[in-house]
Amino acid sequence: MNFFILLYKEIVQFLRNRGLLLFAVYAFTLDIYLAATGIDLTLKNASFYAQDFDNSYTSRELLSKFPEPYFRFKGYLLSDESVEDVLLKDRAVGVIRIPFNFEKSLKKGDRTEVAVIVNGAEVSASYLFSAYATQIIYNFITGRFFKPPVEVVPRIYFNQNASSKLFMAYSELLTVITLFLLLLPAAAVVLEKERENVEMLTVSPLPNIVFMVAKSVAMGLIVLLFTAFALFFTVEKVVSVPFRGSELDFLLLTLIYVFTASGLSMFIASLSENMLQVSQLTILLLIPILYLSGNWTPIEAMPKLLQWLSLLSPLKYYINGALAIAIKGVPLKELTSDIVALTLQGGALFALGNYFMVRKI
Amino acid sequence: MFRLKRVFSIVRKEIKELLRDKISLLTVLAVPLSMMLVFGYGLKLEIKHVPIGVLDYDNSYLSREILSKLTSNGEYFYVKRYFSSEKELDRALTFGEVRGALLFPFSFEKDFKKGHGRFQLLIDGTFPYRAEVIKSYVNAVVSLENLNLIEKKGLKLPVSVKPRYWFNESLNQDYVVAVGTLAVVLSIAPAVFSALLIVKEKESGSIYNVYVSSIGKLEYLTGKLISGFIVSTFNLSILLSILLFLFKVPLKGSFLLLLISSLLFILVSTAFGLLLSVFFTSQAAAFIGTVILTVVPSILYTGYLTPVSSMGKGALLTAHLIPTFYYMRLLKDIYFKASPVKYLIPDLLTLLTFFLFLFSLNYLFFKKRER
Repeated sequence: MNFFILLYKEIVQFLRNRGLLLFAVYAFTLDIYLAATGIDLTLKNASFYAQDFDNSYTSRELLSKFPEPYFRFKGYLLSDESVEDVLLKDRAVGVIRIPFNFEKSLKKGDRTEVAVIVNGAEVSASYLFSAYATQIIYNFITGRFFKPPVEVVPRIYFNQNASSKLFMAYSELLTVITLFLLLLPAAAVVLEKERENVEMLTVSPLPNIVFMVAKSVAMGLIVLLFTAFALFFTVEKVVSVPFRGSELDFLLLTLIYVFTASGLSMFIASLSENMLQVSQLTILLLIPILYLSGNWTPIEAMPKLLQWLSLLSPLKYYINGALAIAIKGVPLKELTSDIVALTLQGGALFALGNYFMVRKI
Repeated sequence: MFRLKRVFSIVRKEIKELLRDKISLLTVLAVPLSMMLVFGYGLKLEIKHVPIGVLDYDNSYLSREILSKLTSNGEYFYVKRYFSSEKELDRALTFGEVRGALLFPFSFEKDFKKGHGRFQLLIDGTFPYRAEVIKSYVNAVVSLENLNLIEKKGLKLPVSVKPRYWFNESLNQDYVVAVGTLAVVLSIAPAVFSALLIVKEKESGSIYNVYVSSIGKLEYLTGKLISGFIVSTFNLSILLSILLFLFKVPLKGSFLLLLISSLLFILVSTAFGLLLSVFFTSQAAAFIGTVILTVVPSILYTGYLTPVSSMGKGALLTAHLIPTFYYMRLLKDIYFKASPVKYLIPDLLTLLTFFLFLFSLNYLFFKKRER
């Protein structure tokens, strides 16, 4: 009974903090929407110009082979200065330079060279731009002479158009969940310390552990509710990407993750005396957890040491499981290894975190 | 009356408080450092060592030849497992055991001898960028193989394509990521630190001392601003050293310009954090608000990972409202392009305007009484 009163108190306290509520709503709606619709590492609308010295039928046909929405043709350039200018001012990802007598050389079989000039100060786009452009030019030219003897037919599973929206929507949702789970319980505890309520607690008839667990559970519940809201509303309705598995599975997995992450939050709380420390420690924990989850850099591409360390990131298992459910439609019962890892980590962290916290008081 | 003495007493108090609080001091220094190291070192967009599966129904000379061309240098792909049925292969793709797979049909070599052999490349599309890069690698290898096969028949292609990278001749993407990370870190860390500077006094109640003291609004705010600025300038020196000496990113432009634009940007970032501190009455809200309002926009609208020229009209308009957009452009111009100063002045002036605007908002909304 006492536990539920405490739970109620924490939830009311959260709801009364209007600033926090405002940002929670923002994070679980607009923030996810912006990230999902805005961050796209694949080649989209890559602006390019052409420096066409040949200006022949063939050269124009070659330029028409650069397809939208990957490429966006911006126009012709005459001088080398204007090439430099568009690249300096970041008005284009690249420039295609077609030499004099391109058409004639092709007909006669003389050697000629098409240059692809790429703005190297871009990150993902410069590689993909040069790779695609080279491919398109070769295909165009080989197609005029012979049929390619070997052809590869690519098929992308689970996400046919390789749309970044799908991935980014879930990825940002999981990041926001982690941020709130790391911060909220720790902030709730440290606020009591700063206001010197803690002394009152220690002399109250309630065991300290009940008090701490109530805070974690209350914040976990709030995050879980927001997650459900974000899933049904933001992700499925507003961003409108498909959800292939069962929403209940997704939320159950989140429930396990809630314990893991709020355990970590209790560690933060046990180390901190004030909110400055909480805030800095939250970021300090969040960054490696995010990085080691393999969300940004695939784990197999990391150095060996980091690959081992990545086993420690709870987000890794959560992302694995959550993306499998959401994007691939895998049922929860098939994800035993992720669930076991997450549960073990969660159990240990939650118990230890709360234990440390109680000892500190 | 604006008295510098009062301003500096605030600065002295903040710095002393930080120096006495060992955990805070340590973490305030560690946060930007760890962000820089993790993202500067770790954010690898090159796709390497991709585990692939092979299902070779044909088992012919040609299928093995193509497989060996794909995996021979061992850098991009390695064969994790050979499969004997499509069902197994599907399972492996679903559970992430392999990221891609090659499927050679029974008549692959036979069809090739007739003039046109086709095989399938199956890719896990969960991470779209990874999927696109895998596709482009395989396409490139197959094109090269086609040219080889044709040359054996005595034909030769008269055209060659030559990619050239400007500003970053070896296309070292790590350099671009490292420099971009500086802009992202400086959007987040100084703002997060200053976001608590005022609200912490509200929550502990010591703000009443300020309300009743003779210190003016402007003096108080300037003091807080300078405290945040000093701490972040110290961090900047660490971050720049990492960039120059650890990551060894070659600086093509002038160091002085780099320093001036960075210091100016720290002022903007600090003033933004301070504004949230003025607005909110809870530290948790001010902190989480700063994180959410800085992280995604500074990655999304600045050209950190995706080109500015690919943005739509709406996104480009939004980008111009975000100070990091200008700082990122300045950084890239100075670092990679050594752009002439006349290109940089408008952006520097814009950052200055942002600072003046944000700081006046601080002045406008901070009240020397409880609301």
